[in-house]
Amino acid sequence: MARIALTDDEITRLQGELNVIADSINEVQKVAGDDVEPTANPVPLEAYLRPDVAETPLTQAEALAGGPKTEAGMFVAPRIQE
Amino acid sequence: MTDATELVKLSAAEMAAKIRNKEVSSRELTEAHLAVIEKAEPTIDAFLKVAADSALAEADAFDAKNAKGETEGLPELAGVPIAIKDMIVTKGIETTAASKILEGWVPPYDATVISKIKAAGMPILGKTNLDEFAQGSSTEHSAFKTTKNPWNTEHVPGGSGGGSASAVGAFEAPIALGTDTGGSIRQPGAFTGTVGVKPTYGGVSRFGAIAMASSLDQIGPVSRTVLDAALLHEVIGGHDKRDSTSIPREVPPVVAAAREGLKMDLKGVKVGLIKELGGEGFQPDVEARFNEAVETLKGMGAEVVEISCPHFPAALGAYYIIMPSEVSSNLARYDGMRYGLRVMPPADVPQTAANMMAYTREAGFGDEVKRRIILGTYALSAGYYDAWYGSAQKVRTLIIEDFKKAFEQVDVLVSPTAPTTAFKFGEKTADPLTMYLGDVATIPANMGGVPAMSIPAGLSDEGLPVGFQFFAPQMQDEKMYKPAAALEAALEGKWGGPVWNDLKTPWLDEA
Repeated sequence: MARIALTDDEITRLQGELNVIADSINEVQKVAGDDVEPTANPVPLEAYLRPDVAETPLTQAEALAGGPKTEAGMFVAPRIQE
Repeated sequence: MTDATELVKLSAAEMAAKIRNKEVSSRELTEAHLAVIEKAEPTIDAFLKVAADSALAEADAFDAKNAKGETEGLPELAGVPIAIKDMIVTKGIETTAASKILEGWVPPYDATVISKIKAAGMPILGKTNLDEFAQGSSTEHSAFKTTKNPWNTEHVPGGSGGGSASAVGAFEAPIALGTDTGGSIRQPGAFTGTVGVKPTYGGVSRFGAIAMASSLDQIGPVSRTVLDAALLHEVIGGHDKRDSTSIPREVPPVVAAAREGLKMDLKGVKVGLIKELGGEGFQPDVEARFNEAVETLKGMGAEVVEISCPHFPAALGAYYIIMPSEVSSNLARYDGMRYGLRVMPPADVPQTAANMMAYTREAGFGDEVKRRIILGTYALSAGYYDAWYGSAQKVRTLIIEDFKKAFEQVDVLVSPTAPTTAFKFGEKTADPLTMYLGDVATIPANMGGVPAMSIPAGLSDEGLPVGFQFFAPQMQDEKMYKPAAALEAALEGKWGGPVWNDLKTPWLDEA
């Protein structure tokens, strides 16, 4: 899911490191009881809509400028299926 | 010592005053700093990119305006040059987040804070080094170079914003911008004897800050004085409709509070010592400098009490769930499609989009970033989400409650910024967990969304800077600026000058 083509060496090393980290953060489950509400945003705000005024977006050329491969005003992607 | 080296040792506020009095031009200031950068960089390596030509052009544009008297209404720091952490996008200046995956990327737009800095006529000297995607506490995880601590070049400058802190500490820039997700402005501030501020979450727009962990990230000032940080805070702060978490309020009156603090009168100010942030794991000389600073606060009339924040010990573990989870989601955008690196799979592997992403990310990300993406992907996966991410979000609630209860009793909370002084290169890279433990005192502010800052508290037995941290309630950033400015003034009185009087700067002698 992380989409990283790890080498075998990396997998072995990461396994060890991640297990140590996982053990340590497991403690967190003991702290929070069922009666505690979770918080996603530490400073809660009301959602709002910006005024409906047109703005100038990036031009097509600017948007494409950083693309690894572009053609005819589009990004070129590798094929999806084998 | 030349005029130029005298000039770069001034505070940003003093430089600004000289610009207003026409004693010095923005160009002269910019040239002086570029000269120091040239001499210092072989030793310090704080910058990934020096933008000399555009900085001089910006300085000239400001000077032309100033000559015509068209600078009315600009911020006080108008014309003063600044360095920018390479985690913040700058139109036309390569921005990499110190990652190979973004090497060569020239952003087509400016972050909101950059637009504000440009509008203020402040020349951008260049982009400073960091741990890749701001992930690390030593700047050793940069894909490009290792930044040295100006106090001792065998020691790290802290991280992730080691570049901004070292640049300001070494007089390569008077002020800089950093980003702080778990302490990345404050801990390098502590390690380099500089001032670092993390404003209230949402107090400074994050539009154009490369996203790491969106519920924790905050842009903030790096400087050598508390007043300079306040002046920069007012330039960059305020509401921005491009950031949905931006607080729709005016910037708190931080400059007035800093100036008030310089009077060194803290009668009526209540200070809380956080019981949970000290003792075991804290270096004795760090605690000694901290206690001396607390006595100094008392000497100015502050009332000091001990406060317990019982859930702070759980903050570190919860942070190391929330942060990698958000990292894994935010860094999913580096997929080799629209910008940045693309690496096609080897010939014997099917040449598909999914395989291209996997090989691009394997080649483009460094160890620490991979570690966090994998940890975060795991923490968010079905079956673990509730146990890990859910529990961590609950701990965040408990930490916010700890802060609320504490601030019912005191105006500000204080602690050492970091348990140790700057460590040596390589000392902690082998064991990620020890590296993470160094953030124990800075993480609660990010988890609670409260403002916090680090200022110098003196030197350790080894002659390395120690940081003193203030926390204030959400949206009341000014409350920490007053005691911080007072403490800075009182300690400088005691030492006979700023902490950097003891800093050896051979690169300035040659400049």
